[in-house]
Order: sequence, then C-alpha cells, then structure tokens
Amino acid sequence: MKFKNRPAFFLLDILLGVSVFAIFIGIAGYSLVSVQNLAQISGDRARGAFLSQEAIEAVRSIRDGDFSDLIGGTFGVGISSGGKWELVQSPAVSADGFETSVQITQGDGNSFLVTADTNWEFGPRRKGTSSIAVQLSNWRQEKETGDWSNVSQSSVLIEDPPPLFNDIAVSGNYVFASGDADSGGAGLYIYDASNVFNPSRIAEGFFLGSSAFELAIGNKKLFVLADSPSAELKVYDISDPQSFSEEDLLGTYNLQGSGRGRSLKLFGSTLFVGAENGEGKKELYALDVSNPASISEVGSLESEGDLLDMHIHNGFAYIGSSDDVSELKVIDIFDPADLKFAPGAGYNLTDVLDGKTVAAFSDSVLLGRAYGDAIQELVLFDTASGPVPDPPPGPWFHGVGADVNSMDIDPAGKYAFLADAHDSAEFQVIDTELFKAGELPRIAFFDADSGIGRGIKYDARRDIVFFATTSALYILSPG
Amino acid sequence: MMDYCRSRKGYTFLLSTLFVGAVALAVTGTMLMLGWMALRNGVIIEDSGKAYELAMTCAERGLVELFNDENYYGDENISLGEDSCSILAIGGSGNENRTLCAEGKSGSSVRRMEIIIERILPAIKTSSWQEVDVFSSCPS
Repeated sequence: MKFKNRPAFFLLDILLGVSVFAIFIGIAGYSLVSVQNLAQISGDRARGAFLSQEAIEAVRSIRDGDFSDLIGGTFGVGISSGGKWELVQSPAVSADGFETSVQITQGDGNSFLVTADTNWEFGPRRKGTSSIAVQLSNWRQEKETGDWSNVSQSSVLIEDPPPLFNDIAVSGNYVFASGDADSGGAGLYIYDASNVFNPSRIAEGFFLGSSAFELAIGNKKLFVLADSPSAELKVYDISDPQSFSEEDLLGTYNLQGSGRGRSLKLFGSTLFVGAENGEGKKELYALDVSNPASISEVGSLESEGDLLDMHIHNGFAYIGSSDDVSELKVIDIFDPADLKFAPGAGYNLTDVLDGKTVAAFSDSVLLGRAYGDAIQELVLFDTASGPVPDPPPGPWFHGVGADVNSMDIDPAGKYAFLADAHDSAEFQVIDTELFKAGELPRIAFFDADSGIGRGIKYDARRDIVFFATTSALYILSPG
Repeated sequence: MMDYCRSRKGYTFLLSTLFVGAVALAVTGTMLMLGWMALRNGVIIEDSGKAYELAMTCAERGLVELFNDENYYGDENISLGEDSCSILAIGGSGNENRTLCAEGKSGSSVRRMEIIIERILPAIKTSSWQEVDVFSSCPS
C-alpha cells in the first residue's frame, strides 16, 4: 500500500491562520469597544463641564440683575416663570441624568466664590464630577456722590512755614501736596489721610530742595514737576509712603531750558509735560516714563504762551494757557510721537487774562482764568460737536471775582470744585448742570482763613475734597 | 523519503499572518490613539471652561480694584483653588480710557480677556469686553 503523500500542513495552516486572525480581530475589537467607552467617558466630562459652566452663567446672570440677590449656600439653578435664571433649593438634574449644584460662598463684601459641581453615574466606569469655580465681583456698583450744596470741614492741617501749596495728588489714603519753597516750605508734603477727621503729616524730614508745581501718580510712582534747573521732572517710588525719602528717587528728566515745566498729566506710560514759553524751544513734551531711570522724549510740540494746566480727555489734551489769543488749547495726543493741534487749535476768549486751570468731562470743558475787571473767570464750553469748542451752544460764563487757581471735577461731571483767590470764598462748588442751563452755578462755598485757595483734588472714592491754601490743607465733605 | 521531507515554503502563511497582524496592530494603535485623544478632548474642554472662568474672575477683580483706586496698577496673580489667573499691567491713567487684560490658565488651556474701559467712576462703563488670542491694547 502506498501512502499518498498528503501533508497536514493545509489543516494546520487553516487552524493557525484562523487562530491568529481571531486573536488579532479580538484585539482590534476590544480596542474598538474601549475607544467607544473612552469616547463616552470623554463626552460625559465635556457635558459635565458644559453644565457646570452653564450653572455659573446662570449665577452670573442673577448677579448682573442685582448683586444683592446672591446669597451664600448650596443651590440648583432653574428658569423662573418669568424666563429668568433663579436659584432653587434642589440640584438641577438634566434630562440625560447629570446633576448640577452650585455652592455660593461670601467673600469680601464685594465678591462671592461660586463653585459649580456636576455629577454623573451611568455605571461603574461612567461616573465622575466636573467642578468649575469662579469669583463673581460687584463691579457694576455705582459710587454715590453726596449733596455738595452744603460743605462741611472734616479737618484741617496748618503748616508753618506756609507751604504755598500748588497741587494735590491722592493715592489710596495718602495725599501728596506740592508747594513753593520760597517761604521756607518743603516743596513736597505727604499726609496720611486714613482718618479724614484726623489726618497727619508723614515723612516730615523730607525736603524737595525746590518749589514743585503739578503732580501725577501712576504705577506706584509719583511724578513731580519741580522748579529745578536741570531736573524739572522727578520720579519717586511711593509704594511705601510712610517711609518716603530722597532714596525713593527713581529718576529725573531735564527739560529744555531751566525750570520751565508747569503742568503734567500721565497717560499709561506716557507723561505729557507742559512748559513755560521759551524762545526756540518746545512747550509740550511727551515722555516715555516706563523706565523712570531712563526717561526719553517721544514727541514734542511748539506752542505759543505758557501751558499752565492740562487735562486729558478722549485722546486730547485740554490746556489752560497764557497765550493771549488762545487761552484754551486743544492738542491731539492720540499718537504721542506725533503731537499736533486739534482742528481749530483752541479758543480765544475776551481780554488777555490767562487760562490757569482746566477740566474736561463728558461733552464739556471748564476753564478757570486769572481775575479781570472786564471778564468772568469761569467759562464752560460745549464740545459735543468736536474736541475744540465751536459755539453755539455756549460758552457760558460765571464771575468768580478772583483768580481761579485750581479746579477738579467729580467723575459724573455734576460738580466742579474751585480753589480760588476770593477773599471770603476760597473754595467754591459749581453745579455744571445749572451752569449749562444758564443759571447761577455756584451752589456752595467755604471761607478759609489761611490764605488763598491754591490746590484742589476731589477723592471720588471717599467723596471728599482735599483743598489746599497758602498755609493749610483742608478735608471737606458734602453736607 | 525525500518526497515526504520536501521543503514546503510557508511564505504565504507567514506573509498573511504578518499582513493581518500589521493591519490589526495599525487598527489597534489607531483606536488606542483615538481613545486617548477622545479622553483628552473631555479634559481639554473642561480645562478650557475653567480657564475662561478664571480669566473672568481676574477681569472682574481688576475692575473692582480700579473702581476702588484708579491708581491700581494690576500686574498680579490671583489663586483660585489649584488654578490661578493674572491681571496684566493696566493701561492708561485716571478715570477714563483705561485698558484691562486678564488671563486664566488651567492645565494646558489659556483664555484671555481684553477690556477697554470708557470710564471708572461713578460707575464702570466698558466700551469693549472681548476674548482675544493675543492682547493688543494692554501695555507689554
């Protein structure tokens, strides 16, 4: 018998092939199922995160309606019959089984910590929690301004020798006041006004060494325009005013000429400095003060007259000037490297008396002038149609009866506060709405017995005015 | 005898096995990669939501600080649980025309808010509040 040579490799091949193929198919199939599971787990997390964020948005919406509607506790969120989000006692459960709750915890008086947790459990491998937290703050609050038709003195600090104050700047509870050094004053004074009824002078040993004109504060730095021949601009670190000293000097800058600086305003890292008129010299400078140790000029502009006071509003510098044909100047400062007069350049008022102080707000500009027999010293312009006044309407005039040396305005633009040289009303409150209505705008005044009014600063945060005279610093309040 | 022991080439089987194996490995690898990416998607979506709320936290905190003190400079980090957000240096000065930029980070997600403030007092009024990829209005 002859065996036919029939190898079994074929069967073995098949068995092996099927086995290997089955193993591979099994692995691929398992990975497919795993991927599906992972996609579900991922989808659950994305859905949970979405629901948590939606709950936070619901609480934010309630906050936006009225901050006082937020209360501490653990809630669900739902939609009221009026179609608005509301907090409910039990957690919200979605149609697909996710349960969301928000925990609201009171922070300081102006914030709540809101944590939204969404839980799900659809089996041993499909369960989890998505937690998202946010701090909601009461940034929509409104600062109330008191009724300044009555003024009361909260406190007064009298200095000897008289500081001959010029300007005031405020940083938190600290007040910085510049003055003339002619009568032996320190040039720069610092006060702790934490208690408005009992302020105190600090850093009493500090002497600037020269008179100082205007001040500006920004980025924990104090910018002082000094009557110094080679360092008109001085920059100090005021991160710790209690220990203020000459060692806090960060840098200086020498303007063209000698001691010409008169006005300054800070915008971001650019400081705009107005100067006395100088033959062949520029009068307005834009300085890059991002590094006080290396201040550099970005741009400059030549102008007639002294630039005595400056206010920046909507990209324009409004300047009170001694220029006889343009007591109010308007300069386009959108690009500090390309300073230029706004179309129209400014406004020429009757007579030649200086524009000494200026404030711009909403669609108006207020200019205070030196005293003159034939003029009214306070002028209100309408700037609704453009940055440079183009009457009518206005301008409106009010006789102060003295030099208007300094001015500030509340942020709402309702009250203007004047420091002037009037014999019996060195501080005056002007109602700008009455002014624009053509009525008598002075609604209150204060008679200081310490010299003329020279500097003023309204502290909107505390609704008080720091008012400086020849020899005293007053804190005045409404009512 | 030589017939019985004739060498029978297994190339077909070997190649088939290798081919099927390679395909299976490729499928498995792809599936595993897809699974990992799907899992990451969920985490990234959650982190992105967290980063957004963190950025909003810092934006609102910055507004309140500015409301309380117009000289507030910003440039600070705020922690909220394990995550944190940053208020960048605030642009401008005074009561008008300020810029506030805030950034929230969670995991690998970063969300940025840029706010242009028309005025601070008597009540904050913003002219623009938008999420951006890159800050353009705040000082660098």
